Amino acid sequence: MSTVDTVFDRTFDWVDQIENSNRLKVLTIVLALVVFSALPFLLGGYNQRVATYILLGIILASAYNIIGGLAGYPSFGHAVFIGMGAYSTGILMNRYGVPFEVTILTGGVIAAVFALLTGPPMLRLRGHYFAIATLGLQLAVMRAVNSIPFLGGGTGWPAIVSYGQIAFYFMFLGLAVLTIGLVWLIRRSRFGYGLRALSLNQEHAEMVGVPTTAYKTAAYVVSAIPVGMAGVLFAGWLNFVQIATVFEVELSINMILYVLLGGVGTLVGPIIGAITLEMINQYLWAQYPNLHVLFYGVLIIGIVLFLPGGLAEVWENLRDRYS
Amino acid sequence: MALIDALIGGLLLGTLFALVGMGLTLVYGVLDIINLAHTGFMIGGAYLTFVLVEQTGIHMYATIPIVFVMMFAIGYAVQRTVIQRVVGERQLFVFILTFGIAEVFRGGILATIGPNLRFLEPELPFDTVTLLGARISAPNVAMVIGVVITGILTWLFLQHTRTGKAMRATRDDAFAAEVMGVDIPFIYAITMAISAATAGVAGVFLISLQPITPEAIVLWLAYAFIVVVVGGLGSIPGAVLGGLTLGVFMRLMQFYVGSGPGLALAFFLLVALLVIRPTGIMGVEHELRH
Repeated sequence: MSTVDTVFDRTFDWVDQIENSNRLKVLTIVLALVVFSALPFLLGGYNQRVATYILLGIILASAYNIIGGLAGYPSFGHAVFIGMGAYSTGILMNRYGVPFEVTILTGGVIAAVFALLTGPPMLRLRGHYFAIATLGLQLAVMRAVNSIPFLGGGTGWPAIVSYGQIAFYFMFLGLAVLTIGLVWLIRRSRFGYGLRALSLNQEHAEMVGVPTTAYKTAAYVVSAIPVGMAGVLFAGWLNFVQIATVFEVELSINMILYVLLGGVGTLVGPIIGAITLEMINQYLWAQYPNLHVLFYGVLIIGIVLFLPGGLAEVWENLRDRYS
Repeated sequence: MALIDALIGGLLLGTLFALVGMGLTLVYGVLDIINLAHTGFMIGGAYLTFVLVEQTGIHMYATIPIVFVMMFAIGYAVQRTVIQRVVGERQLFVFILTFGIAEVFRGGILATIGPNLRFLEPELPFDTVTLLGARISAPNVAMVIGVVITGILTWLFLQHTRTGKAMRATRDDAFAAEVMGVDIPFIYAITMAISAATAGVAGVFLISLQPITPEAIVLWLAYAFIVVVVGGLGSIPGAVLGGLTLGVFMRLMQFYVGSGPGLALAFFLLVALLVIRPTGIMGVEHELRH
């Protein structure tokens, strides 16, 4: 691990051990792929859905980690790209008869273009201002889609796709693997080191020759693409597109929580964060349909107050107690 | 005729925006945090009035002191027990934590009262008032009077009481205030309490004007953002200006293009304003105090 990560936040020591050994690394990756490929065949209908939600969470967490973790720009409106991806599918499929498979790609392109247009002005802001601007942008796009009938309006779109549950599971799995691979590549590259430098101190990064504006914008665009594509898959999987499901503020907050819980800027942390939080979320949804928002709020407060160091801290404490 | 209706109606609605923004900007100024739970207090106050009126049958405006005291107490307690623990921590934590508190409000209302639209019609001895040719409904008249009184009382408290002066001193320089013997955590809690209480009062008037659901928490938070960003974060006169501006803007949009596109445009303008002039149209350089 680089020292930057340890400056940043905690990480799991067993992750370090795995990353330092090539054999363990290959073994872990193979094992993870085998488990995730076998999972839908071992699980029943409901648990298959939960597993798919977990994969969606992993995609969002890993993609969000590029801008929110590595670059240190915690966007509060990243779900805008889920909404754009999902609505672009609805519009293209229903208005122009474009096949679903093609819209997966166009969803990524549309997210990238929108990020490229909105990123540079917004990334000049910092702190409170960046947070309000990103949340404001999500609400603006949501309201615009809601009030323009051509875009689908409040009724949304049907997105009838002939794929079954297991097919969608593997589409989500494929996108998750691609996104994790992307983060892995970025973290090893000059670009990734530049992002970490600018997240620590923008002026210093600029001074040692990091093209901060270009890197920030690139991080924003690259992190938007998998989110937009996930939005398309989400729409096809649910068979419909609606404001309340794809533009929800909670989706944006979830992305921040995954990363906070798992470890900011690390490769594995957000994945662990997404798995944990989605399992809790889905459990709350299923068990307490009337109380899940309340419990979700309590959960958020609990994470910030009692787990500010994320799950890695819990792991350290447990290990120290029992060894 | 209709245009003057929109203008006058916008200024009246603007006072409600201003009161909500005032609480948010006060907390930002003194505690240096953006409180995403702010409109949780507001909509919480609205539903508290709803429950009180439904259960006891008292006049809805008679619940204002109860809502004020309750929200004051909840705001004080939440600050002391929860928010105080992240003040000065990373802004991200504060944002997430206060969003969690807002979710507790939303979830609590959903679990007890439910997601349906709720509305209270105040009983008033008069029907409409005509001002400069514009007809103003009775609940609107009552709302403006109540909001202006609440705002002026808060202002007087800040200007003339010892605690109010300590709040302003903390806003200007927390370190110097502490050296002078100001109990900073206490001042923070009082500030949050006043902010929550005024938001609760704004909620009472909101439910007398239009039917609301718990989702109003997010919508009104977005309104409050616009108000404080237009006026400049941390500035109370700015919040008044921002509130009135937003009120007139929303009513004019409703008049010309409909309220849905108007709202979308308002949010786009918020983002644009942040990018072009983050200190607001008055240009209060709040960040300089550091």
